[in-house]
Amino acid sequence: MIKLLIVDDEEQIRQVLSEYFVSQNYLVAAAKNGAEAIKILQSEKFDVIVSDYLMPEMTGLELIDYLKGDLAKIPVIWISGNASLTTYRSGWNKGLFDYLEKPLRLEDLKLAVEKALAFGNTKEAASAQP
Amino acid sequence: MRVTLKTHSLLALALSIFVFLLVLFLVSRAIIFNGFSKIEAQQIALAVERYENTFKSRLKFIESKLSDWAIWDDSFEFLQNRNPRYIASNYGPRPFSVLNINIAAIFDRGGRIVFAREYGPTDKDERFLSPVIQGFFQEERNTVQAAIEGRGSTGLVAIGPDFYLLSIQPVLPTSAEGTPRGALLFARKIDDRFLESLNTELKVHSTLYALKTGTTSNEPSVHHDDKIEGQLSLKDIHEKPVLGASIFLSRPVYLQAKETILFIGLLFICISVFFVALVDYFLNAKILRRIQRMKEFFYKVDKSQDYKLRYQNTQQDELDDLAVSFNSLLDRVSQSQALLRTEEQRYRLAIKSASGGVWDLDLCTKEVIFDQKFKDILGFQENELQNQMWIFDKYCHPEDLPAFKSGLKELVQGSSESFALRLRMQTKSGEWKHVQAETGVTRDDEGMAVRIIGWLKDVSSIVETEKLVVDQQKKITQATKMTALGQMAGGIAHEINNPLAVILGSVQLLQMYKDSDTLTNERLTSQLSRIEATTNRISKIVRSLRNFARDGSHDPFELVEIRKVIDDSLSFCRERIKSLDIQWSETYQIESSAVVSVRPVEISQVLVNLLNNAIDHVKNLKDKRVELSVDVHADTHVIVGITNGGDPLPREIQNHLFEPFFSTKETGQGTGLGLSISHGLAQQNNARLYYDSLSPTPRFILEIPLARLDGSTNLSRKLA
Repeated sequence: MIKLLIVDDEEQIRQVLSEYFVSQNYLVAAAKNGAEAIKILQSEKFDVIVSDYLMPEMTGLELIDYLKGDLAKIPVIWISGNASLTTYRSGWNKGLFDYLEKPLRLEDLKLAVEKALAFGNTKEAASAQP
Repeated sequence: MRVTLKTHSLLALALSIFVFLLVLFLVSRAIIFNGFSKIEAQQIALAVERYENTFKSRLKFIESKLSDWAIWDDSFEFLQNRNPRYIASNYGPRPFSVLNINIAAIFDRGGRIVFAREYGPTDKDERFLSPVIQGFFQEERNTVQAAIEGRGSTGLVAIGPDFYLLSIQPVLPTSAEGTPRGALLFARKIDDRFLESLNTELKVHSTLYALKTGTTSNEPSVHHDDKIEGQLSLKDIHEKPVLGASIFLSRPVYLQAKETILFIGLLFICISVFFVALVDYFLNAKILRRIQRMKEFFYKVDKSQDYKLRYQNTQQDELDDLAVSFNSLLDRVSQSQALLRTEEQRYRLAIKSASGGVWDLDLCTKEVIFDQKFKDILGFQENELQNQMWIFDKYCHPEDLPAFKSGLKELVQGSSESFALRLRMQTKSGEWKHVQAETGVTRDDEGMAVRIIGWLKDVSSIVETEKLVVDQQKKITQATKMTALGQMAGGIAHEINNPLAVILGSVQLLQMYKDSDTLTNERLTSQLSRIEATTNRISKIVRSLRNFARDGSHDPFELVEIRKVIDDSLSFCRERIKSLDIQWSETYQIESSAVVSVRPVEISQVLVNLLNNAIDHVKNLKDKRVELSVDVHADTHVIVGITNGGDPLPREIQNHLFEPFFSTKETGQGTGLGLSISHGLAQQNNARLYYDSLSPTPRFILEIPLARLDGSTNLSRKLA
């Protein structure tokens, strides 16, 4: 089973996404902010992370920065209601796999997740570049 | 009639001299003439005495002559022998003339007339004894008899209408012894010649007159103007007063004194005239001519109105003091005139530069004058507009007229000194103009209004501009709001996109369940209620967004809970606070039902602006605190404080915070209008926006008065 971590400060989003991915046979965990996500990541291993970008205390970018070592291999997909291209660009430089804008179609997110699972983390490649 | 100063002084002088002289004259006259009267009385008494003595001495003369003839042997013998030679040689005209007698008579012892002869004073040949005299002898038989018997008598007698000096003596021999043989009588008629000789001798003028029986003339003296009169009574041989004499003395000394006094009087008059002339000359030379000169100078100043002229002083006296005072008055006048001229020029310049029309109402004569500029404003030619106050009634807008009239009334009643109004006035062509009317009043010393002066300026273009400015301001306010919205767009997008994502997710889940036939009622209800809730959330955001974006300047004031206004405002900012990782805190020391009367949209705009500024200020700082505190101050005001981290604003920045286009943000980051517009909006809502300069970190305060509705509504309810 694929283990998916959903990070979003909005409870309804977490609920909808969880319900969907559970129905698609994912193993889903949800965190309401960056700190909680890191806590969960430290105790469990996940295959993919779907994270909101704009969250209190820690943004999606900061979360990527935090992922180091083995954790750095976990592909991250941002979902954001309001993020500029600049934001995504900075994400890509840090190894962001993909982004989707809210409101999003659940199938699209599933495709992105599947793609991430297929192509693996690009973070290493990105960080390996000179 | 105009009596000049000169006439006054000369009259006074002349009158005083006249009175002085009159008194002097009367006093001297009284003293001198009184003295003269005494002297003259003495003189006349003396003269009367001498007169009487002379009279007596004449008698004595006759008596002594008679004695010579009576005691003479020839006479004695004649009575015996009747010798006619005796008569012929002794009683011819010559002896009568020598003896100065008129009558001679010889009586024998029996009392019979032996011889008698009477001569008129001028008639030398007359030899008769008039019956009157014969009658007298009959009457005076006793006297004759006494003389025959030896007792002669001498004295005055009245014989008929005439008076005589008479002497009768006994005829004796030369030895004067023996018995008389008869008596001899001599009489001298008191006639004009007698009187003349008497007057010549005594150097007087006298008249004689018969006294009526029993009267005497004992008046001591009578003063006539040119002579003095003394009275004397002469007695006859029987000691009966029979003849009165008036003795007149001339008054040469008196007349001399009178002349002298007259002369002195004339001299005095001459001297007075001389003195008056002298005083006149002095008055003219020393005073009047200078007063005249001064008067001419005053006229000159008055006529030419040249107050720079000065009177030239010549002497150091009171007149020059007057001139000095006048000169200093002229100094004052020329100073104030200069001041006045400057003021007037300034006034004219002001009127000219202000390009206004002036109207001037004289409250005493009710005359009003509109100047040409005034008429120009209303589009009239010079002769087209009558100078009447009803011009205002006719051309002023009916809505503006009452305010203007009550303003005038207040000026007249004294409750105000001036007023300014915007009026709408109709021009000749019928078009309406906005005018600024400044009106003031002039009062007299007692505070009564005497003049109303008004100034009228065409401000139509200003009014247009003002309208434009107001419009522009509204647009700018709106634009600034839009800018703020732009700044918040990301947050707002997030606010909407998130719930949209939820709804879309729910819909897809439902679709998925339906496709897989796993759509249970429970799932359906759960998803639908989620969709409903989330839709409400979106609609709430959209509503407040629409509210915020809307132009609220025409909204009525609403009674709203301050908490709701703050919540609405915060809803736009929460996403920014969250995304920029701001350390947010809010404290409420206020009842949730506290109500204010405001235009909520405008207050919301102020709060959003303040919150955005605070967020912008701290977003790049370490100290990312933004605090919202809501308190009540003195039960009257709500104090909304927005505090953020960082150093307090420098004093220079504080001073310019609310000025338009002042910004501390980088170019392109802000319009510089936010705070100035917020400040204006706060004022329009009876609120106050200010920077708390005492706070250790930047802090803005919005102070809104609490609406006092609880007390009044409770009361009205109770009453109901």
